[in-house]
Amino acid sequence: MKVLRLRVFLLLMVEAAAGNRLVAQTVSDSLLLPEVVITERYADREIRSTAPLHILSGKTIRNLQALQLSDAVKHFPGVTVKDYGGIGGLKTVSVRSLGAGHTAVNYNGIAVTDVQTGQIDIGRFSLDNVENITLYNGQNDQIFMPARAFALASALNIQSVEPLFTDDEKVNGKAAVKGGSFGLFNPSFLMNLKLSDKLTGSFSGEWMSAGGAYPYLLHYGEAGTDSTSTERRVNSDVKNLRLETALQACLSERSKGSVRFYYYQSERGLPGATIYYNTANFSSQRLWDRNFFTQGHFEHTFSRQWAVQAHGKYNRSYLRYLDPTWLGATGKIEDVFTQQETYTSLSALYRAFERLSFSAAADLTAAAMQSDRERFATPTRLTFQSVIAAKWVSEQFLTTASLLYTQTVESARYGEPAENRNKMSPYISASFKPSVDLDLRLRAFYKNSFRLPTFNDLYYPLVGMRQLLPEDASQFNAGVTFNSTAGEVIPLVTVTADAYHNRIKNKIVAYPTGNLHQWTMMNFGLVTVNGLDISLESALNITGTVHLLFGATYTFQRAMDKTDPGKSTYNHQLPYTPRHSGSTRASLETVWFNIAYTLLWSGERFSNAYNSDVYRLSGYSDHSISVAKSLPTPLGVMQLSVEALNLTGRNYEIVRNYPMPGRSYRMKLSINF
Amino acid sequence: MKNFFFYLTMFSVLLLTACADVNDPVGDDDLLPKEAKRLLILNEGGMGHNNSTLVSYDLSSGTTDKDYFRTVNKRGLGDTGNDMLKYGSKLYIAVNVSGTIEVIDAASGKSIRQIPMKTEGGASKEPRQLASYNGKVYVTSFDDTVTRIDTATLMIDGTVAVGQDPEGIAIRNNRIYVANSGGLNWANGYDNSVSVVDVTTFREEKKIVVGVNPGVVRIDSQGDTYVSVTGDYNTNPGGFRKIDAGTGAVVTIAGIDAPGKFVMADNKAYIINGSYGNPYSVVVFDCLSEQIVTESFITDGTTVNIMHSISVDAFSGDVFITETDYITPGTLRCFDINGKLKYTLPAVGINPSVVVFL
Repeated sequence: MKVLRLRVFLLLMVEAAAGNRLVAQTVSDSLLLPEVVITERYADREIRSTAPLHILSGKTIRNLQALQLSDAVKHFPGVTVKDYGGIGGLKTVSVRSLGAGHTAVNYNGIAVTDVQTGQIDIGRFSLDNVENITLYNGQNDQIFMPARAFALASALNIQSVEPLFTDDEKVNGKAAVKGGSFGLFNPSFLMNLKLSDKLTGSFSGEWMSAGGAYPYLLHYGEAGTDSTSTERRVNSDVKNLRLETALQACLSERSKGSVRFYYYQSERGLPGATIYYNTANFSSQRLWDRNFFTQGHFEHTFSRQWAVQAHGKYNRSYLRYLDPTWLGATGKIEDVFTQQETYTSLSALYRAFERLSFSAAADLTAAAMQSDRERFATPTRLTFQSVIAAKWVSEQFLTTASLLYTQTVESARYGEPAENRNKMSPYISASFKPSVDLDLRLRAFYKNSFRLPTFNDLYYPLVGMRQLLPEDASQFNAGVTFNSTAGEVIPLVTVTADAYHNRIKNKIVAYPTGNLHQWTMMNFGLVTVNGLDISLESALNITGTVHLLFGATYTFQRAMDKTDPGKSTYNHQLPYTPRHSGSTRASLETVWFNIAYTLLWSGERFSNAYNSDVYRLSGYSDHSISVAKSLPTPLGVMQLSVEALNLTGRNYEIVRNYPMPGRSYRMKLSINF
Repeated sequence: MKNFFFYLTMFSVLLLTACADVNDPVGDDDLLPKEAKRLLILNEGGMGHNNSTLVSYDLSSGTTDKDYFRTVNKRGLGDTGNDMLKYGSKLYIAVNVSGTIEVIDAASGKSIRQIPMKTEGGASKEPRQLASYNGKVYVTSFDDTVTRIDTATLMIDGTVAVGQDPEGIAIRNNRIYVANSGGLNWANGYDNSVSVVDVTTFREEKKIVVGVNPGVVRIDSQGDTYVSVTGDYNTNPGGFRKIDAGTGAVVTIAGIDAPGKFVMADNKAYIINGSYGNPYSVVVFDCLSEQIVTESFITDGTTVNIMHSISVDAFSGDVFITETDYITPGTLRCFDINGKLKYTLPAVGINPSVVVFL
């Protein structure tokens, strides 16, 4: 029901903004306002896109038994989530083996950044308040975007639920509480307010805590005959708090704006690897995070030809690390790192002709980092990005091209700053529909992008290298998408298949320089990736009231070290990259209850760049199931769901020596008011 | 011929120690080095990866078991096996991150006892290097101690505090010499001393300043103690130092600027010399004549990028040099006494550290 409401609402908004009815919506939608596409079926965007994009809608996410963003992201094809296990365990995403630094994570349209490490822990985002998440390979077909949105090899977009009101409704919202195994307690609250006809506001808050002391079977070898012992994860507790408020203003038919305030804090233990004979006391390390940002967006449509928008963000983050059992003279290691980032962006869209449009954007980012360490480099980085882009659309043909220019200005309080860089990043993509009648499209894209060295890469004491070059990524993709319906019974079948070839040059790696305590960052190595992503989505109307939704993905990846033919690792598969992996989800919707099943699976991997038996990690499969029931109450619709996760109970490892929890249960009660 | 002094050394050590302990497990086997039939190679593995391995390599058949300890004992060795010592019929392996001393029957590879090396709080003491003397095995640990293990009972029977983060250990004439590296205290300038511990009282007698970040300690047959000083990779360079047996004076041996691990055989020190960006070489130093025999032991042009460890077979004089990149499995190369490559064992394990000859 809510989806329908959303569509109607947005269509109305679009009509108002555009001033006329959108007849040829498939042609012109994204030329007018990027948001319009939300009104379409998600599958439409997935098949029309010139570069692979995959969407998980809020409804699908709720059927995934997903607590954290990382849980849902594992269902995208081509994605490898490095998951160290447990709620507090680090989770980073690598798309098509490019590495975490090549994927942007955007929250409501603006990038979440960490200039210290370059990688975002996607475990910290809960899915409680999420309308949809989208994975873009290459980039979005919408060219009316900030310059920064053109920069990286792929992007993961998180979109919060926007406030929607029926008729004379002034307040609505949702309250929920989740509980489960290993001490999970997760209450959340969301309230939307209609402040006036032009102004809406929302507030949401969430607490999540977990003891995380899950039992696991420790294997003292990969062979079946090797001994095992039953252990319990220690120092795996986590406490998170998220507070968020947003204001959305529809100032006129042509102008709208929004502002958002976000605060997040967490305290967690870092349980470390399950070290043989030392599981109980290996790690007492703790991590404290605090993050605050405020971001805003304003957009004005002058005419059918012209639109402009502005984005801005101010971000502060604080990280404290403590190892209280360090054997060095100080008896502990304690580090505090702080970061600030100020970001502004201006972009303009010019719709020159019916089918051809252009855009330009200019972004300025100022980032700084401090540490409590003496004589820490204390670096700052100014990044100027500008882009020009073009897009041509017809019923059968869609093409986009863009050229991004990036200039950095680096400085440091102590020592030499890193070298300034300037680079051009080209992108071109196209899709073609050979037949008017058949919903089949061929598509291809090429993108050359890079990731800048992080402040850790450049300035980490003893390790950092200030002369590092950016890490360069080239992507070639060719694919086919197909969409069909087979009458009333099968209203939807969508298939996408993409083959790709990636080359990563000047990889930034930590390289030893003489002994185990002395490493330095270097540009070293060449990696090529050949892969195939396939996704399938289908719906089946079993009866008028019983529906089955089904989705599956398959990924093949051959990610090879091509650095040096003389090295023992030449042509070996990158560590932790399965050749075969995939996912399946199915949900059965009836008027009484919904049942959802998900499967994640992976073939074998290697924990070392040298692929031999000693470093072989066996494959795994993770089956989960949930049952949900909705009840109308005088207060609103109440929903109760029960989830059973990892049904086989095996403590499989995504990262060696970091076992995942075995079978566990969660229960959730929510009420929409 | 070349081994003559070595035999003499061995005899004198045995004469000094043979009557000390009736339970001394040193058997007839160890009176003289004999021809090795099998190599056991310890690989440290990568820290946090539980992948320290012991490799068994049969010299006549070429049969290799790259995970010998696990094959025999149905469990892995643990995390970061730093050092291995053969004493009597047993092998002692210091497993750093796991915090254990694994005591193994050398002939069968079976673990006899796993000695926990934990602090009061339960964390690992981080055992580093081993030495034997008079029926005891001594272990340096990064909790600034030396632990004494009775080799008859295989129980810890004493602990003594030394300097910061002790690494190398050597024992002679009832004195234990321990290199206090201060390696964990790198941010504040390391340690710079060698602790001298009396075997009988098991108390630290004194500290001798030798230079910033000392690593390995060995003693020649005359009682002179040699220390490789690593330096701080910054303003304080490394150097090869001698503590004179008679005067106790610390002397720098010229011509060896970046010494790392070294072993002593036949009163010759085989020293890995090199650092990042400078080619590694093995310098051979004659401890009796106190002259450098050669600055580059390898004579056939074989290059080794990063030399990680060195071992010498006392019987044959063969020198085993391991190469590492710290990430992927390293290579073991065997050179004859003239520095010519005899054979290579590629991808033997991550960070190959010690070779023992059986």
